[in-house]
Amino acid sequence: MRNIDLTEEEFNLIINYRKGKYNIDISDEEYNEIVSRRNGAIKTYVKYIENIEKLVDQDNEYISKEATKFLELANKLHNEELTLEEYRVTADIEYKGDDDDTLFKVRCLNYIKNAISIHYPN
Amino acid sequence: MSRVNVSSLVVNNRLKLPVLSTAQITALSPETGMMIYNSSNNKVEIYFNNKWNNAGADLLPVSAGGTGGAAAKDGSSSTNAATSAAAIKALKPSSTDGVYWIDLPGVGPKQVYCIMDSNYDGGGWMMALKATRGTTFSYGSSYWTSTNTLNEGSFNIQDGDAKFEVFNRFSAKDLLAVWPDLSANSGCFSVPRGHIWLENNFWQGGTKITLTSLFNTANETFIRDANNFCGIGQFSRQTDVRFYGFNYSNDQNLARVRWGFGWNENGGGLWPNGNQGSDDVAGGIGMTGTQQGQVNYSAGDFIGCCQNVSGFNRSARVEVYVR
Repeated sequence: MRNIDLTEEEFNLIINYRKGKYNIDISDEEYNEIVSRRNGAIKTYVKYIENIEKLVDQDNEYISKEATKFLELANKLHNEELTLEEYRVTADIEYKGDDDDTLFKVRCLNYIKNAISIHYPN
Repeated sequence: MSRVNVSSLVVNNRLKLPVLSTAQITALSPETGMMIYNSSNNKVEIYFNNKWNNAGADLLPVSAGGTGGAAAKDGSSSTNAATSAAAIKALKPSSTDGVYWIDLPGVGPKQVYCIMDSNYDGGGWMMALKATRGTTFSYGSSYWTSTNTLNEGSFNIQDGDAKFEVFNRFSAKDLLAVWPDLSANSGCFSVPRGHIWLENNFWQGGTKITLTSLFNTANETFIRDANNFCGIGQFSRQTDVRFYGFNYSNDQNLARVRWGFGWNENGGGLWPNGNQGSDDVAGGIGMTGTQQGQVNYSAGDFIGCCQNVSGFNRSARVEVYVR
C-alpha cells in the first residue's frame, strides 16, 4: 500500500532502492542455487557443445582447428545429417607431438566425443 | 628326575634353582610356571605364554626400564605378535616405523608394515594395501571385495602393488592414505612423505569394520561435501554433486570410485540432488569410468572436461593404512 504522504515519484524511488538492496543482499548460497537450477535444465549435449566452443576459441592453433572440425561433426549429429552410429565410428583426434597442453586438450576433445555418444540425445 | 607334589613349600634359608644352559633349556619339555637359572645369559627365567621369559626385565613395565612384561606382545616376533600397531605404540611409545608381527583374526601372526611416527595423527597404523601407478586395484578389481591377497611379502613402503591380510581381517576404526608421489606436506596433516588423506571413525561414527566388509557393504556412503574434505588439496573438482565417501557410482555406473570423489557440473547442487548423469571428473582410490573414457586407475585423478579446478590428472601411487 502506498503511503498517502508520498508522491508517486518518491514511492517508486523507495521501491527501486529496495530492489537494488535486495539484489546486493543475495547470498552466495542463493546465487549458487539459482545457477545450479538453471544448469540442471541444460542438456548434457549442450554443455559439451559449450565446452567444444571454448576449445575453438583457444590460442592453440591445432586445438582450435580440431575443435572446429569436431564442432561441425557434432552439429551434423544434431541436425540429423549423421546418425549416432555413424558419429560413433568417426576417428578420434590424433596428436603425435609432445606438448603437454595440446595433449591434454586433444584428450578432452576425444573424451567429449565419447561422452556425447554415450548421452546423446540427452 | 623324580617329581614331588607338595601343597606348600617353605624354604627357610635359600632355594637353589636348576642351573641350565640355553641349549639344555631348549631340550626341556617346559610347563607353565617352571623357573630355572639360565647360565648362558645369567638370568632367572620363568616359562609362560609358551616361552621362557626373563624374570627381571620382562616382568617390569617400560616406565621402570623393563620390556613391558613377558606377556607383552610387542610385535618383535611371531610369538610376540601384537593385536595391532596401536597396541605396540601404547606399549612402547618410542616404537619406530617398520615391520612388526601382528596377530590377525583367522590367519594368526603376519608381518605388517606399521607407521608408528606420532606425526601421523598419533601413529599406530598398519598397511592394508599399496598401489603403484596402474590399474591393479581399479574399482572392478576383486581385491576390494574378496579376501584374496597380493604380494604379501612386500611389507614395505617401496613402490609396488600389494594387498595384505590386514585389509581382510583387521576390524578398523580409522583410515589413512599416503600419496607418496604427490606434493609433500599437504592434505589432512603435514608430513614429508606426500599428500595425506585421513578419515577417523570412517564407518558409522566409529563402528569397527574390515576393509573387505566395508567395500562389500557401503552403498554410496556419503561422508561429506568433497570441498570440505581435508584431503581435497591436489585433486580436480567440479561445481556440483561433490560426493566424498565410499563406493560412489554415478547414474548407469559410468563413473565409480571405492574411496574418493564424485563430481559433475550439470546443476542440482550437492549429492544426492546433483545431476549425476555425466560425471566428467574423477578422483580417489579404486577408480573406474566408462564415462571417463575407460579410466581404470588403482588411484589418481582424472579430467574429462568441464572442471573448475584442475588437479594432477594422472594415475598415482597410494598406500592405505588402518588403525
